[in-house]
Amino acid sequence: MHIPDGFVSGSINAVTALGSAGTIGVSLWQVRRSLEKQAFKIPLLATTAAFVFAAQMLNFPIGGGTSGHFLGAVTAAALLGPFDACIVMTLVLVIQGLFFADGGITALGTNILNMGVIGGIGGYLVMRGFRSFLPTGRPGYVLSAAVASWVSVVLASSACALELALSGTSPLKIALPAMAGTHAIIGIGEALIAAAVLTAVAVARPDIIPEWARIKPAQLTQAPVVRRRRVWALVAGGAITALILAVFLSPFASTAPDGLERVAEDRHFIENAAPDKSRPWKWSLFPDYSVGRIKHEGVSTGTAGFIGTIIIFGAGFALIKLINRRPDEE
Amino acid sequence: MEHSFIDRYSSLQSPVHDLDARAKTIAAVSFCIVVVTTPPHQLLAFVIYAGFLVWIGALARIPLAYVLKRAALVLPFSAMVALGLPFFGGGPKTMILGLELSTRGLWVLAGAAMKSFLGAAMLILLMSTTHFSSLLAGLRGLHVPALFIDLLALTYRYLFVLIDETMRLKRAAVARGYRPRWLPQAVIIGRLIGSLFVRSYERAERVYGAMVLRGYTGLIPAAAPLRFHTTDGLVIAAFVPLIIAVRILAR
Amino acid sequence: MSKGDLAIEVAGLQYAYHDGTKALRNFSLGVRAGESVCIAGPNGAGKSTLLLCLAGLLTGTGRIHVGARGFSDSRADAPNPAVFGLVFQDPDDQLFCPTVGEDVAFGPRNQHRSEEEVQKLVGESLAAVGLAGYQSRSGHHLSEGEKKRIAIAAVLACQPEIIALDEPWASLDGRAAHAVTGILEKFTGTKLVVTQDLYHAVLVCDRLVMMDEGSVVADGPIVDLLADSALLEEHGIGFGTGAPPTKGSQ
Repeated sequence: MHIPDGFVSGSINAVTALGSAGTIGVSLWQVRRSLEKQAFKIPLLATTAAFVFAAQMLNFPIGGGTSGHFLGAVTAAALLGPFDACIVMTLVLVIQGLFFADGGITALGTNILNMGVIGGIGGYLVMRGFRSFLPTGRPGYVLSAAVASWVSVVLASSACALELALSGTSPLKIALPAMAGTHAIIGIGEALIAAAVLTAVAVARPDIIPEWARIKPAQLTQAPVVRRRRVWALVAGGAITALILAVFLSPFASTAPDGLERVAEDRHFIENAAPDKSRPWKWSLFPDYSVGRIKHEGVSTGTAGFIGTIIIFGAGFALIKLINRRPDEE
Repeated sequence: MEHSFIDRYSSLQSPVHDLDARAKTIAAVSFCIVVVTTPPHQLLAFVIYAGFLVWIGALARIPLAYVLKRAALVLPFSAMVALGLPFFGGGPKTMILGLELSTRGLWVLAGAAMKSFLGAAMLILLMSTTHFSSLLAGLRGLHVPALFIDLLALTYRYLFVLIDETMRLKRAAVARGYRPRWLPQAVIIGRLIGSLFVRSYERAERVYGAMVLRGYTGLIPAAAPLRFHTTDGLVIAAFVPLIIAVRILAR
Repeated sequence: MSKGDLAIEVAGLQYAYHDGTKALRNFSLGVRAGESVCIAGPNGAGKSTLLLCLAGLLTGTGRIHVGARGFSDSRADAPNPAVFGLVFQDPDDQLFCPTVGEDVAFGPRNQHRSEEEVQKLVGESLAAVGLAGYQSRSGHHLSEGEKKRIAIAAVLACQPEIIALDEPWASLDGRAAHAVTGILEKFTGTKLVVTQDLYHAVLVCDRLVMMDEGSVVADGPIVDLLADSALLEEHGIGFGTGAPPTKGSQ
């Protein structure tokens, strides 16, 4: 997944470089802020980066004679926090790129965005989301990290495929199934490893793990998580799933007409639906599931799906709030 | 344990070695950017770029075979692009070995292969002519945040220590019969990695103690700053426009 | 600090780890300026913990007074490299800069000296450990013995009054061990050497403090104590076969 020079276009590299630089800047700022009380962070971030680098050298088989390797972004985030994990991944990528010619210098911003920001910070957000489903304590910690690890690997590789497609290097219908497909399997390894790593650390050095995660399975006597949080988590989980489906899978939806359309064509009454078939509704925001200005069909559909999903969730949320407003809250 | 260091030749003597690290970094990065933005069909430009690298390598006394061998490690990535060739759809086709392939796709593949190779080679030349600590000082001079530079230095320092520990742990597992055959065995790798993390954490604690005992308060004190010579300025003033000129003119 | 004054004074020091294991129990010790003391004992006796407490990295209960400025219970003073220098067992923990020169310069630079002074100190410290000219070498390319000596140089560059070393001869071959012994013999300040290697300890130290299970079990001239083989065996201190060498015979 370490993209070399020349695979991603200059403009995309420029955009991702800006985004990555901004995120790294924020992360460094928050480290510097806490330096007085936490000077230990400096050697810790460095040894953790060295650790991730070394850990990435260990391969595991994924079948078919191929092997995958550990990414480590979510594991680092689970142990150190999202911004620190972003710095760690950046350090790893800079060293790999500069000193081992693994990953192009011009593609550095893209690689950092995929693995550090999307993998590390994005993965951490997913972990927080899943965590609210689960009771506090070690099982919740380990499980949420494992799931988030799988998601991070799939998301990072999908982003990579998207960047390749937008650069015209590899058509999306090849790149995305290839990348996301293989990484869906590699992600299982990532999840298993993350679970094993966090459990090992929790046993050997519980003081490293965040406090809420130290409660061992045998000691779980707390009441279940407040119901409201679970509902929110469910909503968040549903939203994320819907978004993933809308963005990544809808471009592959069959363009063949669905049942009704097909019958309408066969029976020749489709013309009755609208005079101009390509703009069925004059005020349609996303005619035929596309965003006008984006030429690339797949991205157009995906973007339409993304925005549409957000609108639906937003509208649904507003509606529920309205319905649920109690008389005494007026 | 023996490691193949990319700065293996950085202690040689040559005019290139003597240049300021900042000048070399600026030259290398500009080169990569120009190469990446060059359309693949400008073959002449690519030949000239390659020529530049050969000339720099010769000036710096770096063995050509070494650079070629290490740069070639990026080529397998182009295979991924090659997979997509038949699917570039539409447009004119070329016959190769009885297969009808999209012409546009072939150009994309050629471009990716050339650019990644040249970029890697340039980087190898940069690292082969610059001491690691000079490079870091150069980056600091180019206004990369000092905090990040300190982190890079420390990470690099402990990289090989960690790699050695990893290899030792792996060897121990193999010696106890670990033969990875299917995915769920990843858990074993996971335990290994877990143990590796605890070790790296404890290493950080001891290093922190050593740093505190020598007066560390949060920032590593910097060495004397680099001095930019006229030669360095001239090199950049000549090299960068030249490369851009090649990009624009060589069609 | 003049010779004869107490350089280190410890009274009733206790230290326990997070999980409750007591590393130091009611530990007391007095060391005069200029003395060379060997601290020996079986594994787990608390020797390394003692050094970390003296250095100020760990805080136990009880009284510790180190150097001209003392630390008290409250640990108000941060570790002061000009007073107490500690050489760790693993030199990789102490050499964290890209080059040898930067590592040795680290301490003096943090003491806010001028760059000229720093370079002078670096040159002197490296010469004192027999590695003059190593400034631009990089840490991970060195042999174990060289790393050990550079670590000592890095601590010496801070010009401490007291130097403590944790297993200085561990995993060194004969030649490197001999070099380290030479360096220690030349150091004129107060010396604390934690080691299992009594053969070399005899060459450097006058006094032996034996520790077991967190407290002092014996304290006296090193040659006398080493002759008491029953005592050595009781506290798990090995010496190999044959009679221990006496100081002066090499």
